[in-house]
Amino acid sequence: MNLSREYVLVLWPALARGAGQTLLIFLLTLILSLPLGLPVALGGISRLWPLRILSRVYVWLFRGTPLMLQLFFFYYGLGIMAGQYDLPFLRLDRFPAVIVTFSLNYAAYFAEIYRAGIQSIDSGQYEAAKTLGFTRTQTMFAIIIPQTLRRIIPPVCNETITLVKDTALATVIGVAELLKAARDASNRDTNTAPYFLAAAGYLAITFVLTLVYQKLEKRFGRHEREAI
Amino acid sequence: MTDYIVELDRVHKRYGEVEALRGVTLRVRRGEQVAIIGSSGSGKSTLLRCINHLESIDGGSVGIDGMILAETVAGRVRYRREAEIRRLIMRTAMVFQHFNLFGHLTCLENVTIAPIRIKRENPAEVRDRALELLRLVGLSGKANAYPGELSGGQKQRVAIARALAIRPSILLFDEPTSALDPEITGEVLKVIRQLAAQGHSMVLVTHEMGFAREVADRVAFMDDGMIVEEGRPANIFGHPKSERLRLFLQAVL
Ligand SMILES: Nc1ncnc2c1ncn2[C@@H]1O[C@H](COP(=O)(O)OP(=O)(O)OP(=O)(O)O)[C@@H](O)[C@H]1O
Ligand SMILES: [Mg+2]
Repeated sequence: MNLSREYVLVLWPALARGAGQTLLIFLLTLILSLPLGLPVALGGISRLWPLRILSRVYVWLFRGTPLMLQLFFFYYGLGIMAGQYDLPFLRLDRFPAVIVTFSLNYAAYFAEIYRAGIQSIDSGQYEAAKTLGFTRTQTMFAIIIPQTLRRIIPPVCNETITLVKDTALATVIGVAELLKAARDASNRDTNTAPYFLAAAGYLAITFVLTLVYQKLEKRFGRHEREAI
Repeated sequence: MTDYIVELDRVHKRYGEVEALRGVTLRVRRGEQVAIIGSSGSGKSTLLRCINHLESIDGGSVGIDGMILAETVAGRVRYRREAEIRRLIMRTAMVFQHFNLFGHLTCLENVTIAPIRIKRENPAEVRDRALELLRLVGLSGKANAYPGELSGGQKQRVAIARALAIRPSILLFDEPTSALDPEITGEVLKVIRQLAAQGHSMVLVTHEMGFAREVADRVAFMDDGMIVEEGRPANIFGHPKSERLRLFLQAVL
């Protein structure tokens, strides 16, 4: 293994570009999946059974199959269908295919976290809101969801740490994120050093996230001891 | 407009096999304080929750402020439309055994949220009124505290202020002191006593016989889903007519 200063400097630009792609996948996926999880969660507890079914099936599909399979489907599968049925809009480029797949997949996980959070709120909160004249929708958005925030922050944070590592799956359809950059360099130079540097990159990202999340949990844990 | 704020007529309520209410008739006049006593499981909470539609009735009728909330026509219970139900039940306000304050809001926000967000009243006026209500329940200093920072007695007093803030025609109390330590029930009872003295209409479910006797104009004794006996406190506690009430009083006094 060659970890000399010169070699690291040679590797640096490619790995930095890869890390940039990794971060971009991470951020775009979060920006899309965090909000998308909410309607899925609300559908899952709706009074309308078609919505409930739809939501449950969605969650079941995306949690019940490998993320890599989903990635292949949205990249290769849709590409094939685009050709067969002459529907060119189905053909996604590598990067959009990753973002779409990851966002839909993580929305399913977040939806389950949201749903569990919402269902953990005491029924007395709904009753109090009802006697004060709140509609179901007003109750949900003004009373219930704000109180779930504190409870869902830890599991949501856990999930995002997993996402950092899942971004490496984008390699399999040839997106030039951190792992691909490391592998390419390693193969080219017959050297293990790039893998160590990539590992250091993932560790650095998850370390920073852990710090951010600790702050977040403190902030939201502030005023609410068990309230009722 | 009738003089009755709450009118229950032969109300039935079932939970599966359990008949929680078996034809309960109760009328509450404007300005009247009615206490409901009875052993555990006799249907007191259910009765209260049928008034404000926390439970739907299975027979009979419910009226609030002279308007029909639900009635039975040709053997079928018919409720008003959802928006009308909401407007009607806002003429009642409930104080729960377990407070049910909104944990993410300060005391002041707990009191102001319904008038501002639901009744769309002027926020500045609501705020002033809310501070006045918090003063009334002795919690001026806690306006910006969160419920999690309060004692049980303080929480319940905030809950009373929150109930009053929507200016209900009647207050419904469901064992407001049962979740409190004995030494602090007094501070909550004091507030309720004060409201009764000011002529607020109320239905009060309670295990505090002394308090029922003291504040109520009328006491209703429930047993097994029915009002077995009702009348002035002096008669109910001093000269019970039915055997069941006598046994109940023997057990609790
Ligand atoms: N949600 C429910 N599901 C099933 N049964 C219920 C439900 N709520 C009440 N019951 C039953 O209805 C009957 C009346 O209950 P209710 O809560 O009205 O009694 P209560 O007089 O308020 O008693 P307590 O003094 O213990 O509060 C009881 O037999 C109770 O078990
Ligand atoms: Mg009860």
